[in-house]
Amino acid sequence: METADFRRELDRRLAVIEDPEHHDPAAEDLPRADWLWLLIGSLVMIVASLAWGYPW
Amino acid sequence: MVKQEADVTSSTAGEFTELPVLPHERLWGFWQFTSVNVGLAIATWAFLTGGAIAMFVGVKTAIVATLIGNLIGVVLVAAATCLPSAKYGVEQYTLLRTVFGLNGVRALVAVMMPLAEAGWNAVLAIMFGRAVTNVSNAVFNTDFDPNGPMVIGMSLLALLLGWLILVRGPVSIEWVNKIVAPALAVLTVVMLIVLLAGNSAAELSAAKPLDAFAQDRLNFAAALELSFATGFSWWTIMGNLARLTRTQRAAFWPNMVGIFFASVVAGMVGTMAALVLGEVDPTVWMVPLGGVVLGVLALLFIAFANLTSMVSQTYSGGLAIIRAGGSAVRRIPWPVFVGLLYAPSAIVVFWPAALYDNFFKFVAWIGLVMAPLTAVYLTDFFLLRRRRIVVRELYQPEGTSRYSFWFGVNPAAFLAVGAGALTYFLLLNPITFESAAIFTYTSASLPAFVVTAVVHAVLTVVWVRPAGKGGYREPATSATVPKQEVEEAIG
Repeated sequence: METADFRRELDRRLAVIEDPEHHDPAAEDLPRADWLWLLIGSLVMIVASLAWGYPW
Repeated sequence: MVKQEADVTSSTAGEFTELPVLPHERLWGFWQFTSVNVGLAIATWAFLTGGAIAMFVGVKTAIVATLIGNLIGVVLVAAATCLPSAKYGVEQYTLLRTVFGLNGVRALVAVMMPLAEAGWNAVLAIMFGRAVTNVSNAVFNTDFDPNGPMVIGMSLLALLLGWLILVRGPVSIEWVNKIVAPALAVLTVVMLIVLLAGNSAAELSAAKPLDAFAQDRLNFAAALELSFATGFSWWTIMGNLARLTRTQRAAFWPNMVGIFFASVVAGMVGTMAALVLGEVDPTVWMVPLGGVVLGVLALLFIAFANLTSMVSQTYSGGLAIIRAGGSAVRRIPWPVFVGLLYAPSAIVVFWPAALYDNFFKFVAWIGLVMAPLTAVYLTDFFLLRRRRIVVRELYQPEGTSRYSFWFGVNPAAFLAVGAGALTYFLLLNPITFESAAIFTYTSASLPAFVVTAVVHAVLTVVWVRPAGKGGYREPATSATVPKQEVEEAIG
């Protein structure tokens, strides 16, 4: 959609986002600790489930 | 004109359009997004998937396959779709320009969405038809055939009702979160209680799968594959929702509670019901489980829930098609456009058994498409772009934008997805459900995922990047990149 209203609003938003003072908490990446917990938790769940119920 | 877009000049326009959202427009923290995810996961199709898994394995093996398949599928989809959209506040199909190119995304949406809509709407409409037919059989002692004219007629009625509701606007989407999802959660818990009260653990464990292969490991692989596909099937919508979350943590972890855990619970209830009653179709379970009165009420509710699911997913898919289709699609009157979205399903429902009773094959097709799509997006964003996108460039015209390819299409991404889909097909044929010998040990989704990722990375490094296409060459140091990252990039 490339109406004049859309373009104007897009430019306004981009100006806000590109402002050096702009801070959005969502821009901060998932911490490494979260990835680590995800990996450990997933591995434990997968190994435990396979050990319990895989048709060996 | 097709559905009016929200007023883009309002301060919250970003919530409703392809504009990037600003921090004050982000609606959801951890618990709000978790509740949205639970609402999505507890849907009638979870029972269908659970029933399909009961074809191949018993309760114990089903728990393992459902847990592992959904876990891996949901983690990969959440990382691939939720984190980029949350980070930049941009909807998924706008961000996908960086992967497929501007026209590539349009082509992808134009082909994929109508097919997905046709398949899902037909499944849900037939389920509606069978639910109503089973009510009639239970209350009026009729003997309507599950694939007969009554089911076809009721399926067409479901599509007509879906069209009538959606023509008036997407009001039912609110019903889904406020009424249907909580009520379905209650129905799931009641079913679980009835199943556990009426059957001992030993009886449940002893229940035999309904249509298994001769080899146990092959049955496990089939159940695992269906669970992978269930996890990957969230690819189409999760990014658009996650852009409204306030942090990337709030975008990612709720998927594990909502999409993963709730799906697993609802799916397992479906598996147990199918194993105990010896029937894959959820519309057959309710009267034997709850008696005539409760069973009929549950069936009527399932019919209603299917209607709201049809409207919700048709609306979201329709919006994606409108955005991809540009002015040509926007000129189509909204009622006609909605009618066109429902039309393919209206043909499919004339053969209820072909799709509904082969739901497991339909799920395999979803895995064939969605596993490679997840892989190509994940590889592109995390590996090739190092999680950096320049938002302004997403909205620049082809040829001007750094995310320009050849005629707006990145052939490397499509070749990679094609290679992944072919890998899947060679390991597990969704038409016949016949598999290669190695499928028992590898599944089909995971090799398809790996092949797609490798092909996309290699083609990009040896072909696309040297050609100066796609903005892969230079590091992004625009102000649209978070300040911390700019500092990292420039040392």
